[in-house]
Order: sequence, then C-alpha cells, then structure tokens
Amino acid sequence: MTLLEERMRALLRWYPRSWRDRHGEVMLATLLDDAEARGLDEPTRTDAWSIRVHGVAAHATATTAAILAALALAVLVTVVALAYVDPFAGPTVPIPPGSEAFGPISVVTLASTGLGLGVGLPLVAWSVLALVGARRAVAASALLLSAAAPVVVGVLLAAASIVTTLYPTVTVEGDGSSSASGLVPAWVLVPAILLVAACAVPLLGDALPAGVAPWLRWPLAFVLACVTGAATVGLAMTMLLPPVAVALLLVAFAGMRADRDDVRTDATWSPQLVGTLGGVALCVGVPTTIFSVVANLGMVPVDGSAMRLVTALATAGSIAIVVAGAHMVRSVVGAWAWAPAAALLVAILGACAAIVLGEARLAYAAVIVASAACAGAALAGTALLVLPRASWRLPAALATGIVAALLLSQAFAWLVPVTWIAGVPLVVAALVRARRDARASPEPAYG
Amino acid sequence: MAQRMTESTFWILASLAEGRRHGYAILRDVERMSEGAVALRVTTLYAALERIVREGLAAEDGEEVVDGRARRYYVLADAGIDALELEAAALETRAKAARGRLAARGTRTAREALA
Repeated sequence: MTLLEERMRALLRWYPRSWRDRHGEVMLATLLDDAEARGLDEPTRTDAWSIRVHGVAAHATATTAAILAALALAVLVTVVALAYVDPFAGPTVPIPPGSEAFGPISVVTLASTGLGLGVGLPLVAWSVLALVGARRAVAASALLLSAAAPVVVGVLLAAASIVTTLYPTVTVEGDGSSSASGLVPAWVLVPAILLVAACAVPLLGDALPAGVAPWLRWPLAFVLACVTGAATVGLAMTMLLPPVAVALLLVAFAGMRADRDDVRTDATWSPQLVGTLGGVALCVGVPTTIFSVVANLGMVPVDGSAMRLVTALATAGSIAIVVAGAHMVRSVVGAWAWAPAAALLVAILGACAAIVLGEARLAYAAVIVASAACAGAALAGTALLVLPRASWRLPAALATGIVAALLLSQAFAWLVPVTWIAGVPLVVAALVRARRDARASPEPAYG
Repeated sequence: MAQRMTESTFWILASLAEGRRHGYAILRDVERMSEGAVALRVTTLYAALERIVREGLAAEDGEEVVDGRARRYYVLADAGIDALELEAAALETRAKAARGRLAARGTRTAREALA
C-alpha cells in the first residue's frame, strides 16, 4: 500500500462505517486517481479537510437523528424528574460572597439547569441538523458550522443561568416585601440569538429552494436565521423542549422507515378527515383559549358552569385531535392501531363522565391517558418497524412508550392551548397532503 | 416552474447524458465540458451523486474492478433526462433574453456614437 493510499484510507475513517461499506472503496479509487493525476504523493491540506468535513456531515442520517433525539429525551426527562425533587432535601451550595440570595442554593436546581441548557439544547438542535443533513441537499461545511452554534449557545445559557441562580436580582416591592429572580439577562440572550442566527445563515441560504431569486436569497436566509435563533433560545428557556424532542424522534423514525427498501409505503391517510378534525380542534381551541386568558386576567367573573363548558369544549377538541392522530398513526403503525383506538375510547368515556359529573380533573386524566397512549403506540409501533435487530424492538417499544406517557402528561397540563397548537399542524399537514395528491392525479377536465 | 437545480447537479447530469460513467470519469468530463470553470472535488462529487441517486435522477449501474481499483458506474434515469431538459430550456430562455437586450444596447450605443 502506498503512502498516498494509507493517508487516504485513514482520512476516510471520518465517514461512518455504513457509508464506507457502501461507497468507501469506490471513493478511495476516485481519490487516488485524482491525486495521481495531479502528481500528489500525499493528500493536500485542503483535500484532507474536505474529506474530514464531508465525513462528519455524512453522519447526518435519520438513524443519527433518532439516536440524538432519544439522548435528548433521556436528558430532558431527567430534568423534568429533577423538578419534582424537593430542592432543599438534597445537598446545597453555600451562598457565594456578594450574593443577595435568601437561602442556600440547591445543587439539584443548578444541575437541572446545566443539563437542560448545556446538554439537552445542543442534542435537540443536532437532531434537527441530522434530519436536515440526511437529505444531502445542503453543503457539508454549512451543516458543520450550524452544529457548532447550539453547543456554544447551550453552554453560554447554562453558565448564565447558573450565575443568575447564584447571584439573583432582588427587587423590593412597594409594600416592603422583596423577591429574587434568577432570569438570564437580556445582554446574554441577545448575543446568543445572534450567534445562532449567524451560524444558521449559510445553512438556510443553501437550503432555500433554487427557485428563490438571488437578490432575495440572502436577506431571506438572514431573516429566517434570526427567527431560528429566537426560536432556539426561546425554546431552551421553556418546558416545550421535551415535546419537541418527542416530535423529532417520531420524524426520525419515519425517516428511518422510508430509508428501508423492504417496507411498503402504500399506507395512507385521508387529508379530508384530518383537515376537518384539525379545523374542529382549531374552532374549539381558539375561543376557549381566549376565554381562559380573559378569565385568568380577572376581566370577567367566571362561575363553575362556565369552567365546565370550557373543559367540555377543550375535551371535545382534544378528542378531535386524538381521532386525527390515531387515523394518521394507523397508516404508519398498522397493527398497532388498536392502542390509539382504545385510548380514544378512554378519552370519550372520561369526557362524558366529566361533563355529567362536572368534574374537570376526570377530563384532564382522560385526555392525558389518551394522548400518552396514542403517542406511546406511535413511538412503539415505529420503533418496532425500524429497528434492525429483533431483540432490541420490545425494550425500545416499552421505553419509548413510557417516556412518551411521562412527557405528554407534562405537556397536557396546559390542556386548552394544546387543543389549537395541535390543530394547526394537523390542518397544515392535511392541506399539504391534499395539494400533493391533487398534483399527483390531476382532475379530469370536463367540457 | 420546476425547482432549479444546483450547479454541481447540472454538470453531473450533463456528463451522464452522454452515457454511463464512473466517478473519476465524471470529474474529468465536467472539468473538460466547463473548460476548467467547474472543478468538482471528489468529496462534493460523491455527496452530490448520493443525493442525485436518492432523488431518482440517476441510478447506479454496476461495478467493476480495473487495475485493482473499484469503479462504480452511474447512468441517467428518465427523471434525470427530464430535469436536464427543463434546466437547459430555462438556461436558454435566460441567455436569449440577456443576448437580446445586449444586442439592443449595442445598436443604441452605436447610434448614439454616430449622432
């Protein structure tokens, strides 16, 4: 083996093993032909970096996205679980000198902040980037640059969050009482948003359809990058990150399934049904949300019967979402369709009981069970379909189901907003699907 | 209008339009066709080929070992022929529009110079 071949083989190890098994020898031959034609004894520095960058970017596949999303979920579930730990029961750190904190600061609080922002956020962002990169439609260098931003921003936000917990801002109210807040200051948030935006510009500029006019491409990429930055930093600060990770896991599973050649993709769902149900959820969700906000602000007096009506309506909206979800899930998971159906029955029974007994908690419980079972079934079903080894399938199905149930019981604590937040993607998905179907089979022209 | 294709996709498809080719032959052919203006890297070539095959514009068409080196051949698919036709037509329209305006400008400046 010549020195050139040895060096090239070493560089090719930057590519994932599965990629090398498929393309390694062929690409090595081309690399050697090319280098010999240029009279090189060893790869140039530029060539070497090109191979490294493309090699790392080749790791971006649906499988990698699923692994990253699963890791992110594990981290975020830990953070959610830590929220239930009594912060003063565990070990604490002494108040640092110069801090105005009232009491000892819990290690659990600091650890969950650090984990969620410093580890959870980058993992979620990388999972998104792996899905984007899996299409091989963006340049490898832009993808890698974008991958650096969430790490820096995550660590930055985690550090800022820990510092503000150690040194809270104390405000004294007019009545003499004081409160301490540990919010990350704006001078940290704004640079974090701009950093994500700066790193996302090349990626978005590359990912925009080639039909976008050249003069519009970079300004549009910049605006989208700023939105991405704000969304990244905004999401990091909320408990919405776990549901995002669940959604990513589902998308990644669907991608893994689509990559497999032996799976038939004739399963389908009706955009009319999903669109109608999503629309129902929207029609119910938007007014009830507005009503809840108004009621919470104390603008209108609310009695028990009004709250019962809102709960019943929100439950009806949730049932519409569950039916639509079950219908869409059926097309993916096939035999697992019974689980969403059973969940739906529980939801309807729970909702009926809630309306008859005037008991809001029953309705909440019913919807939580239904949604968790639905998501669990979807995750478990897709996990069963895509995992290569049979021995992994059952444990994976169980684990994903349990995680989904845990997370959704958190997310569905805000029942009313969820009704329309879930309605929007359903309607959008139905419209996109209907449009694609219409393109695939144009209506016959009459007259 | 159909989505425009990227520069590297265009040149690779144009190279395959003549017949089945292996990776290194595409590289050389693109360089020759574009008169040296486009020099694809091997890494970019294989990333682009992976996407082109995934999108169904071209297909892998057998492998053979020549002088101990593996060669994989690629061949244009029907969808690739259509895409290349569309792209060529779009480029022709653009070039024609630009040429027309440049010619009009040329005659105007000539007239102004005479006046």
